[in-house]
Amino acid sequence: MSKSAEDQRSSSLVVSRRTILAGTGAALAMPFIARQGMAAAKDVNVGVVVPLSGANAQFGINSRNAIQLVADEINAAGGIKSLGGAKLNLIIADSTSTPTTAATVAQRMISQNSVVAVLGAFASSLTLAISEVTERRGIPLLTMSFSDVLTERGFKNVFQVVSKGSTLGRAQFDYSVALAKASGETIGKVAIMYEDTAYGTSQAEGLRQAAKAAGIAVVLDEAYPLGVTDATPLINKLRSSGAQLVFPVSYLNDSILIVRTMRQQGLDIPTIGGAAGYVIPDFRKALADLGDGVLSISPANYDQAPELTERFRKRFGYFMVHEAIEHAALTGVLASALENAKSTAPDALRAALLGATFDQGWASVMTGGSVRFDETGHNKNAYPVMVQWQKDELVTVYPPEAAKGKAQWSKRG
Amino acid sequence: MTQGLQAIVDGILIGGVYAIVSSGLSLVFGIMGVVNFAHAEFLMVGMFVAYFAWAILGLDPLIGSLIALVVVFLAGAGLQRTLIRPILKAPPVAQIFLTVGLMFTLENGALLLFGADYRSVVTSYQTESLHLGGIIVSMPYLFAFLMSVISGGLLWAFMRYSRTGRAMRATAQDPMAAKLVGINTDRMHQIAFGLGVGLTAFGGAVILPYLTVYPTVGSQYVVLMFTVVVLGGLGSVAGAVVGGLAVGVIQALSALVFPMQLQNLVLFVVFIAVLALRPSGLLKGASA
Amino acid sequence: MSAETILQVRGLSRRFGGLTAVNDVSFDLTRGEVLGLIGPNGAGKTTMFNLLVGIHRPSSGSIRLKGTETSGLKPNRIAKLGMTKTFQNVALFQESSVLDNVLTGALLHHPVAQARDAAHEMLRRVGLDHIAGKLAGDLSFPERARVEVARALCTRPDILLLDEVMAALNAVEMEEFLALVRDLRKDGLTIVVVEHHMQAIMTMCDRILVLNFGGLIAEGTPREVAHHPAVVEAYLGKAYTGDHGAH
Ligand SMILES: Nc1ncnc2c1ncn2[C@@H]1O[C@H](COP(=O)(O)OP(=O)(O)O)[C@@H](O)[C@H]1O
Ligand SMILES: [Mg+2]
Repeated sequence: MSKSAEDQRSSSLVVSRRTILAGTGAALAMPFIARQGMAAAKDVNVGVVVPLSGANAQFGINSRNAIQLVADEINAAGGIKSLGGAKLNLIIADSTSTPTTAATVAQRMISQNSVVAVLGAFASSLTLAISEVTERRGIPLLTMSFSDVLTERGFKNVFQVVSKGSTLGRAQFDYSVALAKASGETIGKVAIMYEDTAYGTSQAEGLRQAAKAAGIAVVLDEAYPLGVTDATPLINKLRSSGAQLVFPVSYLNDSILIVRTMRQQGLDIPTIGGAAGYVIPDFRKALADLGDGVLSISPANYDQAPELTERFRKRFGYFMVHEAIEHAALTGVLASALENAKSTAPDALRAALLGATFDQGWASVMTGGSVRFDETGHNKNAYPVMVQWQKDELVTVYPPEAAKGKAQWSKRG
Repeated sequence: MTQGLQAIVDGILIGGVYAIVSSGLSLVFGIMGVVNFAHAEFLMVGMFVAYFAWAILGLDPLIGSLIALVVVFLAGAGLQRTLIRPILKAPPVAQIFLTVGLMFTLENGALLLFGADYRSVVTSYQTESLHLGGIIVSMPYLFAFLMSVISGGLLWAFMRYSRTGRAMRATAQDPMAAKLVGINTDRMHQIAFGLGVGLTAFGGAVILPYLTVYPTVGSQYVVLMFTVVVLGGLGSVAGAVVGGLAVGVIQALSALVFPMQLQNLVLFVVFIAVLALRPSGLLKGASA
Repeated sequence: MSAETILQVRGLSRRFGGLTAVNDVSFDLTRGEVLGLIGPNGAGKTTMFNLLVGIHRPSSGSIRLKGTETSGLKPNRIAKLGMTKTFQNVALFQESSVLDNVLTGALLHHPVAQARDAAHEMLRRVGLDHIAGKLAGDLSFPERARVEVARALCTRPDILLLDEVMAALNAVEMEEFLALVRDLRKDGLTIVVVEHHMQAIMTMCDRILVLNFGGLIAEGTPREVAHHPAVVEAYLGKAYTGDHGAH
């Protein structure tokens, strides 16, 4: 069904307001592109563009924390040795929630700060905007955004460290069916609910394809607006659909509403979230015991390399969330590539990024224990994991080679 | 059949809350003639007050809602005196600029103070529900509804029978005549604004048990609130109640038939139809 | 005569841009009297009332009500001090009942327990108690004017300013109204009336002020004023050219 004029009008109203807000934020943030001390001549400037204000600020802050942690460690250990001990000097800027702002600040740090690479920008829409700039300038862009498109446009300078959105969607589905089977349940009917922006839509597509391939009926396939304030109608539909399990793809706010409303209605079919809102400490904090047992797909998890990720927890006081893990891996990869390239020239750096398997230090924190970019710039070694909330921790429960604990399938999550 | 009934019950429960948050907006417009675009931000403020009352003092949001009402009432009365009063006689454009500016200020102020995090409370009744026949009545929704009904009833009685309530209605109908019978209309405007934003804050607090609070939550309600007051007849508090219930039920019923995404579309179609057929709102149109 | 001066007006002026609507007017009001204020349309009568009750601020001059300077005070303060007016075009709370209109005034000036009785009493006096439940907006013009008088009376004023309340009254209603004024005066109320109906003015008033082009052109008993040359001239519609010091 096509969106009608009214619907579009109402959404454009919201968008334009957001745009104004973001624009204002950007204008305010512009002069404050942070500089970490004066860069000595030999230091290497690395651009970091993440949302530090607006709805996604928390994710941006998590990402910045991780990059900071890794850069500090590398610098303390003597910097990039092949470049005479050059330190990594982070140039951090707020992407806000607006793609144009993200592109502008990236542009600015390339021309004014001569960054050798850009890390960012969490949200796919922002990363896509930045990638246009970095591609034009031939500067590597290292990202953990999910969107399939990022590494499918033939760009030479995009390096995607995580599994793509469609892969995540398929894994979310296949892993769940496998877990159900392992505990003796045959799945015949499933429900998909997703927020209707790029992230939810692309992951839902992966879920749909996997269901089709497995010959399992999708009895509810429902998009909802991102800013939903009442999940009751959605859960009413879920209840009457007779689904045996549900795949909600949501950010934090909607994930809380969905899980809470399900519990209110006594609906305790397994809930397998699509990362984002389901795999952060705030989810658990907001739902307390209600969150216990909820499963989610995730592109990485901190229990895969605790000796590394505990350093994050120690410094920042919360577990190392997946966007932090992935940004840490990217920072580690970048340092190794600079080490190998013995140069900050973009071409040399790109060649170094493409050639090797990175399995030292923080580069090994990703699933698979290493990072290797194929010719499109995608990390071939990455695979998603299924995680489950068990008490206050996220435990990897699938696939078996990565599992750190047993899945509690019958638990109401 | 059960599904339809369930949707109507859900719609009424949530509509009661829409009614109370929107009646604040209606009150401000009805008595001062000011369209307050910042109004939904006070819902956010009320949610934050109740959230911190819970996080710091351990108070249930249903009790915290009273604190939210008082705090935001006082803040609103102060704002009225310093910002709104000077533009009461200004052209509408100036009023729009001021209240839109206030909206941005509150939203960004909250972002600055509290960050963009989503926060929510944990209460004992959060996941409880009553099962009546095949119908599920969620406790947090029921409590929010009951709190709204009680406060709505008190508001109605206050406006109808109290000296101040009468004086406020008189001010709304003819400010000059009100002054000549000895009513301090400035004071009435101040009370009306405080009460209007306070009620909306109260409404925000009572829905906290089933929602999350974040600095931009107001923007999710602004269009809805204006739909409610226009449906009910701008400036009519009783109309806001009818409008609120209507919006709640329409949303719930349309979600039965259409995808969730089209929930608001159906609402706007009804909204436009009402504007076309009964331009002064459901209530007025019915009585005229 | 030991009559108490309840209101003292000195050198009162009000300009609207280049127009002087009230021009250097001075007069005294004695407690218990009924004063008429007459003059052609546009003479400044309504503006004078508005100055007295605080709707307009004087451009210059002073107003002392029972010894208190009131110029610059808000209408609600002046109402509390004991002076209020009715509007030439009647201003009621249209969406409220007749009783509620009157009660709104009564509640602010009576103990709560007595307000309702006071409201009914005033409605009885203006002959409207039988329609206390009707919506104010549904009444005829003369009825509305009477509601307004009842509402004003409920503020327990010492001085009541009536701006053309008799317009649109028929002969019977006018008789009733004159009776009401006599009644109120017996209770000690001081009244200022603006009316065009000369006969009514002449029977009702102790004293009359005549305004023209904002200035006071004559003052005296009804009989004196009726024969004052400046008044005759003004009312005969001739261009008034005489100097303002004529009185
Ligand atoms: N608010 C105002 N602004 C400008 N001019 C006014 C205002 N009120 C009255 N006037 C002018 O003052 C003069 C006196 O008006 P008014 O007092 O209403 O006369 P009256 O009641 O004797 O007929 C008229 O010329 C009128 O146009
Ligand atoms: Mg007049």
